[in-house]
Amino acid sequence: MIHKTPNIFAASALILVGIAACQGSSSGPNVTEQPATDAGKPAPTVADANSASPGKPTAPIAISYEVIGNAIVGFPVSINVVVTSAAGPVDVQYSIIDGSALMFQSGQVERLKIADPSSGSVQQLAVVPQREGRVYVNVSAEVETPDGSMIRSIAIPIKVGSAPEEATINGELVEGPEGETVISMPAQESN
Amino acid sequence: MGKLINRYGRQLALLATAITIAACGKSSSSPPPPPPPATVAISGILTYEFPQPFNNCQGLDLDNPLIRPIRQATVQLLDAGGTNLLASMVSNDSGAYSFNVGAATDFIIRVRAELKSADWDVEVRNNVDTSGSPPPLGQRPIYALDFPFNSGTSDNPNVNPLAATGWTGGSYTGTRAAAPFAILDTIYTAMRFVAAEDPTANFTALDAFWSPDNKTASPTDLAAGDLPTTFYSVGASQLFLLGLAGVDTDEFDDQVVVHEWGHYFEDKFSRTDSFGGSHARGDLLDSRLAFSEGWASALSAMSLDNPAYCDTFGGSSGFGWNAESSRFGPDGWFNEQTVIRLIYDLWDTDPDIVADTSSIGFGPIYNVMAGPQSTTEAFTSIFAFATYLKQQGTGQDAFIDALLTDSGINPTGIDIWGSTEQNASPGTPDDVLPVYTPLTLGVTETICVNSQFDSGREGNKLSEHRYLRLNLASAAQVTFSMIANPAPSQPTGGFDCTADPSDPENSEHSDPDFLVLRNGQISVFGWSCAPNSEIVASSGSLSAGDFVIDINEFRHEDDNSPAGFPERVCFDFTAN
Repeated sequence: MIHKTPNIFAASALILVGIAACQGSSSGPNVTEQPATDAGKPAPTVADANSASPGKPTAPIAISYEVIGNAIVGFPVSINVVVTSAAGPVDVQYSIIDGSALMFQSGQVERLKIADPSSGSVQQLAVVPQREGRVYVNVSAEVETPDGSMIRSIAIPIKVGSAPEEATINGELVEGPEGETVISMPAQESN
Repeated sequence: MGKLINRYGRQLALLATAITIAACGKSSSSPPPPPPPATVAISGILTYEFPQPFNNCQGLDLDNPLIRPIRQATVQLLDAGGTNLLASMVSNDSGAYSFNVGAATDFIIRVRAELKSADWDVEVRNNVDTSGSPPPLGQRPIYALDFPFNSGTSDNPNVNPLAATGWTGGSYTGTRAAAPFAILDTIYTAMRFVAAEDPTANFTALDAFWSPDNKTASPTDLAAGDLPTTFYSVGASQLFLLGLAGVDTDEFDDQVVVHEWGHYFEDKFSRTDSFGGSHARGDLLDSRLAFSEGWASALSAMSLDNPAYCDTFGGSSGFGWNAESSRFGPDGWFNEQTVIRLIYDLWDTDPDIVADTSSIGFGPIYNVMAGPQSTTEAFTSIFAFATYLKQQGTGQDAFIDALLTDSGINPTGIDIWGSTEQNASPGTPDDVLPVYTPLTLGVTETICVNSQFDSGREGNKLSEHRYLRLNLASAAQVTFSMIANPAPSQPTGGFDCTADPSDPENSEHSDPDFLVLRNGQISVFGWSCAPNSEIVASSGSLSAGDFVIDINEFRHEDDNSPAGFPERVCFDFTAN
């Protein structure tokens, strides 16, 4: 499955399909009964229905990817990364935040320049999972514009085995006085 | 009990002291020291670290953060175990707090990442929960800063908890405590900006979600921290912010935070007809998206009183622009950068360009957004905004017109429909103007959509959605028909687009879609997968008045569409 740079509109479609499927005549006297929309087609958005904003402004770069095959600990997994931009040459950097979870395959190029990404340039990326769970490799793409360089970054999730991903709590989960769960973060003392 | 001690403790302490002195008065030895007080006053200033961006937005200066007060946050006094709430208050705008507490006792001062008052309710929570059965988002853990201390035996006015960034020696090594409070305080600034204009403004409850695991990833999985990007969820009143260190963090990018809060403002105080989608600077966008994005960025510049927008990424990278001066892509009603600059220049008092000779302040802008823009018959665009602004009686129409002209927007005879607009972007491409095509009952209009400005099947670029305008003189049942003419291809015999979701032919043919709206509300929609045509009758009568119709070609936003699918598709549109 090919994943493109996350599209808020598409992401909200899963939320909206349910709304659209239920709209029918219950949305008001003037709404015509509609057959169910076909799979993969976002339902019509309404200003006051649940949908997502377009998100923060981005660089003029689109990044999509496809993980090839199943990821197994200790074995390379290939990823096709497609970088598209009409704004000119793009500098691409791959990075791994958690080296205990994932490593680059020996010889993997971590930085490259795509001279002409206007038609979508497919790059091969190979990583080796070091543990089960959900691991990530990051792709950052930077392009020069008349207003300076602009960058776009995404994380490619790779599911390895069946172990769940461990979350970063950023503190300690504690129970508050009213029984709710609070993330307790230690304060420092300011002078 | 705690309140009783607080109320009478001092008097008891003094009385005890007096009794002790009296009892010992005739002795020739030194008087015994007074007994320790039963209660003491603990106070101080709550603060958080806030790193600013380097020049040109190339990363954050995490080694030299500003120290800012934690304003208007809930401050709790808990027992040492953290299970009993002894007292609660709200910090002031200087971050000051105070409690009277039992002397020589262990307590916890807890500062919750929340703003609670009669006028607002903001909480910063963690969306990530990998347990497999996460609670609803609104019940996920709230962030809090905890400061255990012993109250001692005398008043202490210098108990000053600090939420630190967690950054030391070139990386995040500690708890990133400052992040939730930076987000909270930035939202507070935006709310204060609006409240200063409208003291009666009531802000619907808002949850802001942040986690160090939040990253841009696909597909979206909020519980895993896989977000489309930093975004605002309309209707749900939830804001999601990136936080993965070394890749993209937004907690200290205050302009990014307020930009998304600007969409909350549209949601709760105004209206937006934008349907979203990815957008980059310089893109030629659907007018609704251009206005919505321009508004949000302009609001961040105005409320933070800073035209410099910065979005920093991991390490020493990032990008930004200046709301005052940046021009990116051709100016016009389809460019969010144009809208940013126009709205900011209407507000600011810095005469940076020939046309920027005055300022109308935020009042008229707010009045338009919270007033007629929210109920406009047309789509929410710069045309509606500017038209209503000129009706506000500012006496500055000449100034407004000059800025419109500088923005590549025709001010002469401007109306909410953009009827007099002549700027179709450079080269005068096809299928951009008129902004709205008039439609008369019984008369077929041929109108074309065009994906000429969309290289990524986003479906939200200029000319991919075309607008029609229909006026019903009286209530009527109406059948809307949208037929591809010519049809780019014909389906195979017996093709049924609903039969097999995996059939590749589902993505081969023209798939016309339309919405019929009245004041932003959908009245009729044609949204099936039927190839080449869409015919829908209203159930019952449509009321008299103006309707706007949005037509588009679904293939232009479908990633599965064949590479050779035509950019330009024309339709015969009829309302009978």
